[in-house]
Amino acid sequence: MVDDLPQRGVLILTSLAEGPKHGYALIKDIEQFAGVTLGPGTLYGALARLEDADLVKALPAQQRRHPYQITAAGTAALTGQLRRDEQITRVGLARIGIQPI
Amino acid sequence: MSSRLTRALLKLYPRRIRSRYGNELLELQDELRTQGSPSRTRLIRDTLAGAVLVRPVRERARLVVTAILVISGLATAGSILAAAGTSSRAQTSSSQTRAAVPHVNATPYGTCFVATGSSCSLAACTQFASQTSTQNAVVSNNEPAIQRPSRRTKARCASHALVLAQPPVFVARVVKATPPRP
Repeated sequence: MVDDLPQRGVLILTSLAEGPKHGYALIKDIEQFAGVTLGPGTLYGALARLEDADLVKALPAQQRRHPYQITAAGTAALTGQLRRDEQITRVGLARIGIQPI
Repeated sequence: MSSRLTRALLKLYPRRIRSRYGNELLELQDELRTQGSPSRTRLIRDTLAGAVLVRPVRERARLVVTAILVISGLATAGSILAAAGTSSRAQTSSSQTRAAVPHVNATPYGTCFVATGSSCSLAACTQFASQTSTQNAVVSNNEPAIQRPSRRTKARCASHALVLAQPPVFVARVVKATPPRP
């Protein structure tokens, strides 16, 4: 049984999959692609957990802000999570009679 | 919000997290605030949510239980205070306040607890003795007293009365006594 990533973790990793970002850029990007607005507290709370799990790492500070970058382990964890989500999405849509796009 | 409140809330975070992410978090909050995006309430809620999020699951449960205990304690204290207020209000039901007026007139040198709109004060009962119309002196919904004491004021007056071992007498200050029409 693989541990699921929490939703905030998936959002952050998905955003970082595009390239390193600092807090503000992360919030705006996630808002844009997912319609979810993370606050600074929840963002850094989730980042702390991801960094503890070596899924992201902080790059050297730029103008007192650290950009964060997804690690290889982070990419693998995100891939696994998205595959599982895709599988569930496909089965769920089929069972309610909707063709996947 | 930059502010003392956020800095105080940051103390809920483990020291390691605070020292590692604290400054960035505050700067990001300021940046978002200058754009006016999240409301102050939302930032406070978010800061609290972050504090829970960074803790291990077992510790989170303890944090939540502690919060529930603190909130229930505050609620209990609040209901006790409210009950005290209600009981003092019960002491000053309309019929009892009506009954208090003859007492004011009968003992003009006694001490009255005067509950006006927002304050409770001690006054010699003589100043009410000149009021010939009891209708103007009694605090009651049907009377033309212009400054009715609030529930809290009555409760405060009642607590003074308890301290002084003396039953409270609630009257209202009347600015203009209107004589009853014939």
